[in-house]
Amino acid sequence: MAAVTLERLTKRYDRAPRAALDELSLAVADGEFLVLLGPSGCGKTTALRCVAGLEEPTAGTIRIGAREVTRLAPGARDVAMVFQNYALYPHLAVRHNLSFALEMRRVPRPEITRRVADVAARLGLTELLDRRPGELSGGQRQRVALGRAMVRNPAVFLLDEPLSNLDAQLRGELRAELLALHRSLGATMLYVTHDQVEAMTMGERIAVLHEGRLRQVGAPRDVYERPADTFVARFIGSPGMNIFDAARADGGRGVLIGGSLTVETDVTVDGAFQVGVRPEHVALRARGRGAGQGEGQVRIVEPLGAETLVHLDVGTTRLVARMRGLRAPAVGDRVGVRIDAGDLHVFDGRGVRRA
Amino acid sequence: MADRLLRWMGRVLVGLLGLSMVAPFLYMLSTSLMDEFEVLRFPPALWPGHPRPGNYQAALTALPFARFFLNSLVFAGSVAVAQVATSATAAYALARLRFPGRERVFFTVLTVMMVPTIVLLIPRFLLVNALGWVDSYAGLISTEVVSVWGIFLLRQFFQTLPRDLEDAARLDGAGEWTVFRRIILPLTRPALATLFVFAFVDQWKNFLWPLIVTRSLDMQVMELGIASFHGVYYTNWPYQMAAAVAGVLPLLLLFLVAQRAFVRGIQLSGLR
Repeated sequence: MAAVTLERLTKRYDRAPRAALDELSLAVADGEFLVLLGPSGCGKTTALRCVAGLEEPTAGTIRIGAREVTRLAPGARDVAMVFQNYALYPHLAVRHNLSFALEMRRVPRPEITRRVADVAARLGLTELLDRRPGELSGGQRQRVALGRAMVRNPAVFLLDEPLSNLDAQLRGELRAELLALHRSLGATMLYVTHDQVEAMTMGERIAVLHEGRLRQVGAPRDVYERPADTFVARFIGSPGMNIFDAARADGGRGVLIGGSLTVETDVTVDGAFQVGVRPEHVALRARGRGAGQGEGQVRIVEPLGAETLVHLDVGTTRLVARMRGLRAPAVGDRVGVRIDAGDLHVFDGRGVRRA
Repeated sequence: MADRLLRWMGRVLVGLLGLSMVAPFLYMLSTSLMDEFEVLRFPPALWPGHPRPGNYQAALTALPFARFFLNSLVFAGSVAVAQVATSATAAYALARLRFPGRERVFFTVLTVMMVPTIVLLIPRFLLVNALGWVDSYAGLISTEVVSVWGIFLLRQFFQTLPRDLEDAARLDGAGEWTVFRRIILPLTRPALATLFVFAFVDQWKNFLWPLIVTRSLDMQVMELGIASFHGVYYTNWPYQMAAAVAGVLPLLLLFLVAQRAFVRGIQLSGLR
């Protein structure tokens, strides 16, 4: 077990217009489950591969525990990785997939047999030890990939979108299993995903990356409730936060959204600014009840079962509201829209959080 | 109705094509059993009046064919093994290892593919002669151990293998050589088998190089033995065909055993 410290880690590929990874500094605590989250091409996998030693960083340092490993060979770093497509050795039986790393490290035979049996029992793979990866289901392959990492008892686990090739139900199950595993192993885990549901449910902390830069690190709740900028606000949440170009309301305290919706608030920002509101904080009322601060017309209704997403045109802008249950206005209805000042997120002209 | 007609026409066409390929082989077989003069009769006889299996014994004992057969086996077998070894290592380096000028090296290798073998015949002989290897196995084998086609074939194959496998092995603590030997090579077995079979067949049929580089009867190969029935003024056709049938048999056998490797080789490379 060990902490992982990245200092100003930078990776530039030849001929690429911008750095794949731009001065990423990040400290992962010993035993922590940290999720690297971002859209594809944000640099999260590059960061992981740098820690693994599969990519050589252009600049910056990587420390595992007290040891600097920046230029060390992958096999010498005491890290194990689970690949997105599992990368199981297709010509070897599960047993030998699991034992390969131990053989490479010249662990004595009896010890190998014991550890393989141990991990197999733990992951429910005992029956499958003599099968080849091609004869396994997706979920089983995923377990073997995990087992291959576990059997080495590494200081750090690196997981690169390990659940993305599974169907939704299996993904849900394995999410829980992975968390239980993390708890029982107490190992440091760096987990890369583009799926913010995985990030929210699994991460003790989430590091959000965009275009090679770290945008925010924090507990899932912090990242959700106080996004550091408009990118994080939009990316986290399903759907993400509604963000609008806003203007000061005429002759008073408050902001004007879409030219028609006024929210009273004390917040003042100089120059151009943006405001955001989570879909669940947009309240819709039947028209004529007088409670709305503005009015909108329903454009699309998405019933999801436990909740319904309602897309609205409000003045010159659009927003999404989340309502509980399946009762919702019909397409084309005009409804009153209400947003509490306390639910408003304010960002400056460059998209950085102000309040 | 039109469908069935089309299918039948297709079958007839394939049948005719097949017949045109098999016919020379069958005629060789038939000739090998004929009387010396029956071959030259006009109109030609398609089948011997009195089949003479004795032609085989006579032909194969007229010259030391057992020795020729052994020589061919050693020559083709060694070259095939050597080509697999050199192609696999070179192709892996060209497909996967990072070193400056890699693409240029590969391009150069490809360029060599464009040079006709015949152009290299004399330089090769001079080299072998200078080394004192004329009329020896070393002379026969040494200039054939590298196959540009083999390098190309395997490089294409290596590039289809997922890189993650190598990365996983590196993380597991394997060095480059171990990655190659324990992960890459076992996964490349079909392509290696294909290369082996093609290389073996190529060298078994090789006539020109053995003709140039061997002198004594002891070093000659099957192809040369078969050809020696062909004189300037006189050719014993039945004997030559009998020897040819004997020479083709190992290839037929190899083809039956390794049919899948042949087909895969054609699919893999798009060449041939």
